This record gives sequence, C-alpha cells and structure tokens, in this order.
Amino acid sequence: MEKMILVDYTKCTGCRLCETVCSVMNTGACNPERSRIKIIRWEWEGLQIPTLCLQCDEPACVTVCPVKALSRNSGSGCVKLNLSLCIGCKLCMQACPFGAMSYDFIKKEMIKCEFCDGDPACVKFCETQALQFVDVSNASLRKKRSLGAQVLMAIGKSEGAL
Amino acid sequence: MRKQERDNILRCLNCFERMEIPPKAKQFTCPKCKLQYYIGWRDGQAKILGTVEEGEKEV
Amino acid sequence: MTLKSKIAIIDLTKNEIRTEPISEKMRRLYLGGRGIGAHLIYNHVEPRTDPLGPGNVLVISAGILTGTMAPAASRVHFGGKSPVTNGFGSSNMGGYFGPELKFAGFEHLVIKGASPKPVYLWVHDGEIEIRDASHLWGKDTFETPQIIRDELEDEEIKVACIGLAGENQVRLANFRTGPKDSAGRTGTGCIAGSKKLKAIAVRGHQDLKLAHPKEALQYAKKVVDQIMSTKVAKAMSVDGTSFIWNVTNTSGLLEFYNGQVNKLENWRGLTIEAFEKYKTGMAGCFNCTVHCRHQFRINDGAWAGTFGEGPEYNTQTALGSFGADNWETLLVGWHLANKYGIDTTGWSNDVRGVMELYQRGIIDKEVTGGLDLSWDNANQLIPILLEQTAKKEGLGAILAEGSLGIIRELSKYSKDVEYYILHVKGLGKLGNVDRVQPSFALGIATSTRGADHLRSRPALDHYHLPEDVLKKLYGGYVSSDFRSYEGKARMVRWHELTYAVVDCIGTCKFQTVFFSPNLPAYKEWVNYLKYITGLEFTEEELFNIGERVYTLERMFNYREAGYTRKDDRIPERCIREPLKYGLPAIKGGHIDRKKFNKMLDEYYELHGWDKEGLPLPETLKRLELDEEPPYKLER
Repeated sequence: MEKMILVDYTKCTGCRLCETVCSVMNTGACNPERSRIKIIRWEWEGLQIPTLCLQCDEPACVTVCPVKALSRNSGSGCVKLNLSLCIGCKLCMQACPFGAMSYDFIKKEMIKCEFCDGDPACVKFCETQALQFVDVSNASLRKKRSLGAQVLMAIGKSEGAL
Repeated sequence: MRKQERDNILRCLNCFERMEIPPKAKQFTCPKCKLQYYIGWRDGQAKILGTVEEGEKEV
Repeated sequence: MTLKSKIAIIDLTKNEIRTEPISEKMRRLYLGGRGIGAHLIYNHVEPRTDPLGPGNVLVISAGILTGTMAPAASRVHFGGKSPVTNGFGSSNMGGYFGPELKFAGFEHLVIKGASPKPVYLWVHDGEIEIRDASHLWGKDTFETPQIIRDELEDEEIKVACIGLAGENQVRLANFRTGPKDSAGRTGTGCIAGSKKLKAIAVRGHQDLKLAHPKEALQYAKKVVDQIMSTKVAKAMSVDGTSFIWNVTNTSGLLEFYNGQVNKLENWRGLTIEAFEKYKTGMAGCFNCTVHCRHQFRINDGAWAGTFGEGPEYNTQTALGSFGADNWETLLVGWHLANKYGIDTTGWSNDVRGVMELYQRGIIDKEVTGGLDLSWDNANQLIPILLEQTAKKEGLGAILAEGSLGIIRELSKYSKDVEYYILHVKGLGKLGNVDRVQPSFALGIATSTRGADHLRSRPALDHYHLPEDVLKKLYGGYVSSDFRSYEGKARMVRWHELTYAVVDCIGTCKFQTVFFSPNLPAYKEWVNYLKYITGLEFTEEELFNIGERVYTLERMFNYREAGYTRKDDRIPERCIREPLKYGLPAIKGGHIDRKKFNKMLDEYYELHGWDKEGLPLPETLKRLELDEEPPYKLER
C-alpha cells in the first residue's frame, strides 16, 4: 500500500527537530542545510510550514532526468534516486515546482526525501504529529476527522462545557 | 507507548497532602488541612486556580 | 572529539579578526558555552575597566551541544563585565541564533575594543566581516533583522541585535533576536552599544559531525520520551512557563507593589485562561519538543494588530506586579520592552521601587518630570516609562542607570531610598517572594550575576519530595520543608553547579532537573556528550566543571567589583517585613538574619571558600584555577 508523509502545518511549532534528525539519518552530521525536509517560517505571522518532496505520481524530476536516475516506486509511493547513475546536472532541481530536489554541497550529490527506507525519522520525532506517515488511501479521512474535532471543540466552547 | 504521569494528582500548596481530583471538578477541598481550592482543567490536566476563601485586600 | 567549532577574536578598534581552535584541555576544564565563555571573559576583560569603555569585552558563547539534537539544544550566552553590577555579566537565550552560530563554524565570539562608527558583524561559514551599520542605527529590534536579511539576500540569516536602549547605553539594555528571544539580564546590550556594535548576523551551512550518529538518534528518542512523559513538560507545552503563575499567586508567593503585599485580589484577569483570547498558537525553540512559547495577537483597542511571542512567567510577574489585572497591559509592556531592548525583570523592579518612593512622598512630581506615579496609573505609566528609559528622557534618564544609579541619584532625598530599591549587587529581583524560602533567598543573595533566580533556583524545594530522595540527589541531608534552613546550603550549591553544567552544554534548563527529578541530569548529559561529540566524562567530572565555572565567576566579581560576603545579602525588606497574606504555611514568613548567616557559612564551607566568600588556596589548586597569572587574587 502506498504511503505518504501527511503534513498539518497548523500543528508545526517550527522546532526543526525534523531537519536535524533527517540530516543525521542521512549524513551522520547535524546540518539543516543537508536535510531533505525544510520548515519555512514567517515568524511575524506565527506560521511555520513544513515542505518536503511530494512524491508526485507524474514527477517532473523523473521526466526531465537524462540518465533515468530517478524513478517512482509504486509499491512504496516514493520517488527514488539512484546515485550511481546520477550525473549531477541538476535539471531535476530546475524542473521540480516544489523545491524537493536539493544539492548536498558537502558530499557533492543530489538529495531528496526517500522516506528513510520506510521509517521516516522526521515523523518519528515530530512531537505534535504535524508529520504523519500514513496510507494514501486514508490520508484525507484523517484530515476530515481533524476538522471534525475542531468543530466539536468550537461547539463545546460555546455551550460552556469547560 | 509512553508512560504518562497522572494528570489529576495535585499537591495541596499548604500542607503538601496528595489530592486526587475527580474529572471536571471545579472545586476541591484538601483532605488534610481543609483548604478549599478552585480547580481548572487545561488539556486534561488539573490545575489550582485559587483558593475559595479569598477577599484579602491590597494596600 | 568530532566538533570542530572555533573561537573568533574580533577587535573593533584595530579592525582585526583572528580565530583559534578549542583545545581538548579547554574542553576538559570548561566544556563549552558559559564555561569557556567565563574563561574568555576572565582573561580578555582588562581588570577593573569601565564596563562602558573599550577595555570591556562582549563574549558570545554557544553551548558545546548547541545545534545538535540534544533536547532543545538552542542556547547561547552573552556576557562580559556588566554595566549594571560591575561584576560578571551573563545572559542566556534560546531561539535559533545559537545553533546558526555553530553551523557557521563558531562556538565563541570575543568582541573587544570599540568602533568609532556603528557596525554589525556578518558571520558566515568560517568567515567574519565587520560591516557598516549606520543605516541600522536607530532601528528597533523588530525591524533590524529583516533589513539585514534583505541587504544580504538570505531569509535564513539569524540576527541578534540591540534596540534604542542599547544604542543609548541604557544599563539594562539587552540583546534580542526574533519576536521575543532576549539575552535579558545584566546589560549585555549596553556593552554592545558602548562599542557601537548594532548587531551580529549569522548564517551557516557547515556540519556538526556526530561521533556515533546511530546511537545519538536512538538515545535522543529515548530522552525525548522521558521528557514528554512528565506532567511539567505537558503543562509547559500548553501554557508555557505561565503555568506556574496561578499556583504561586494562590500560595501568596508573588510580590506586588514592590513587595509590600503578596497577593493579587483580581487574579482572574491574569490567568492563562484569560490569555486565551490573545493566543494564536505555540512555537518552539530549536529542536525543542516542549514548544513552550506562546504566539499572541491583540485584536482590538489602541494596540490592535500587535503580534508577538510570549510572554513568560518572569515577565508576567514583573509587569504584573504593579497591580495590573488585565493581559493587555502586560502584552503591550512586553512588546515595547522587546522593541526597545530592555530587561523587563530588572526594569520593572527598579520602577516599582521608584513608585514606592513616590507613594511614600520621598520623591515628588519635580523629580518624576510631572508624572503621577501612583500605582493606579500603572497601565498608562508602563509604556511611557519604557519609552523614556530607552531614550534616557525625563525620569527615564534616572531609570536607565539601573538600581545602583537610581540609589545614587535619589539618596539625596532620603537615606531610606536604599531600602526601597530591591536589588542584590545592583541587579533587580524577580517579582517572586524570596523571604519565606531560605533556599531561594540564599540563591539570589549569592548568585554570581546579582539578584538572579535562574543561577541556582531550586524549584524542587517546593515539591516537598521525600527526604531520602533529596539525600540521594544532593549527597547529604536536605529538609523537605521549603521554609526550613536545614541542608539548603547544600541544595543551592548543587543547583548552582548543575545549572552551570547545563549552560556549558547549551540545552534548555527547563528540560532538566530544574523542574523535576525525572527530567535529564548528569546521567543523560554524560551519554549525550559521548554519542554526539565522542568526549567521555564521568558525572563527577561534569560536576567539577560546574564548580570551576562558578568559582571563576565569583573570582571575577571580586576582582572587578570587590564583591565579598557583605554583598551576599538579600534586600532588608525580606528580613524586616513578614508576609502579610498567603496560605497559613506562608503567611508571616520572613528571613531570619541569624539563620541566614549560619546558612551562608555552611554554603561557603561546602564551596571551599573562606568566611568572606573567597576561594581558599587549596580550592583554587584543586580546581586548577591557580596556575596562570590572571587567576591570582590580590587581596
């Protein structure tokens, strides 16, 4: 069953623990610049938005790669990068509309989110569950439940239940 | 799964006796020193808000 | 040791920059963060120099683990010779500045001399530039970071800057970053202002290599679970540090009107529930799972549209101790203090003292510049006085000089002025009661940076823990009763040294034994250091580092300001005036002078200091503080 990392930005506190553990998991060093996930902050709006590869069904990066180093694995739902084929032309970085492809300037190679081989570290460490690793089939149901819970709370408040 | 510390146990601020607050209670009396507290609930955790016998005037 | 962070020494007079590596010996003696910072301050500040002169040094120190995934490893210190106390100046803040400094390759910045024109430092990936800041001078702490980001074309740049208060060398001026993070106390912003240093901008893309990445990740998860399963972490993640306020007010442990009374009748206006209407969410410091900072917006009234983060318990008691009974007064005061860059705790303390002088008729409208300083006017006065202080206008010119300056200036009106300005070594105190808890009183009396509660706050003293648990933790008898003097010297010393270790490491104090015996302490730090840096320490070695750092700070205080036993005192009010209100266990409480002095004797003895509170020669030798000339104490 295909999985995805479901993002709820309203729960993100901007702590960036996900960036740190991602970089440690993949490189052995703490360096948010080498993380596959990035939190974009508007500190004066009080908004924090996690951004990461959306593992598109029809990835622009796959289409544009001249050596077929990128491919989508329909079993896991993940777009994988084969570094032994990659020539570092960075066309994928130019093509992706979401900024999902990055260049690791220390190891000198392209990087992208590959779900940490099925057990994403960022999801494990996200305390508020702004990131969840879920089946694609019930991902939207989770969002609907989340909305329902908020409505319930709002109704509860106005009836003076607390 | 994490083992959570109990959310409805408070200590009396006067005599430090353990107080087990019933869910959603708005007041509670310390079983030992009989001090009466107003209780609030925040995200499922019991909190002391104030004492029922207030009315001390400031200077 | 896998971390390769450097020390940079920047001379603003000579326009020279050089870098040094951090030796293994330095790590073993001082670890990092506040520890190495203390060593740098001790060695680089010219002895007995004017804190506002070029001989003073501003030292910025990130923790050894800052920037790594140790819990909330976000902390960074700002320090130097304090313009407020003339002694050891030191303040610590969270947020994201410290980690970015580490990613830029630096753990410590030593800033010496003074620039003739306004400048800012641009620190990026091993390089440091001194850049013109004339376009930034006069800008507040909210706008300065964005101007720099636009100029250098990078939204991820983190900026620590001073506001108008720092530029005008208001003694209580602080360093600020983001909407609310502040290195608040002891006037480090004033030091920067005296050097015409407006800001430090940092950006880093460098690795912090881990010694054992897999073990570090596994251990991090274990410790995060340990932290998040405690009640206090849950309370903080919902209500921030304000979760403490209701409990302390109910007990009668908050001071109002400069400590004249200890209970607020209209407490319902200042509860965290009353704050809900302003709250828009919770955010966290770097790598913190507790996310204890509020985000708020004022939606109507004269300040509609004001957005900010916070406030904290500290400021809630500081700005709330004028008798204000609504959140808007506090939020507006908080917002302005952040904008101008002023220490809310010290400033509020001083203003309360001056307002009591007015209440008692010791000063009048001629001294206040026409302002009516009645307590009822507090809501209107707070914004006016904050602006006056930042600009050194009117009464603000006196307030800008800090507690010692205020006493000096106003003593001509009465010899009692000193009694009403509550301070220790020139630093104002938190609006919290200290007079019924001997451990708290000893803590603020002996803290190396003046009346500071964070140096040694034994919050555990209020939990009434069983005495066998306390004995195990502190290595000796400590009474369960917070009103007792028994064993409290041991308790305070243990916390002082432990918090010094935390500050060397760079994690947030609130996720340690500060709040609960179940939260991380020595055992966890030994493991973290091993997995992350490869350095191996025993728990005892870490404790000794804490002792070394604390003793060095004490030596600095003696060298620079002559502080000895006579200055390890609490405000007289805490001794002479029993608490008027509070729960039966609290009411009537006050410090007993004789018992306090006996406790102080025990405290000195535990530390290996003489009767005047100065380290004995054998203590200096044991701590390896006797070797180099700068450490020789002249008596």
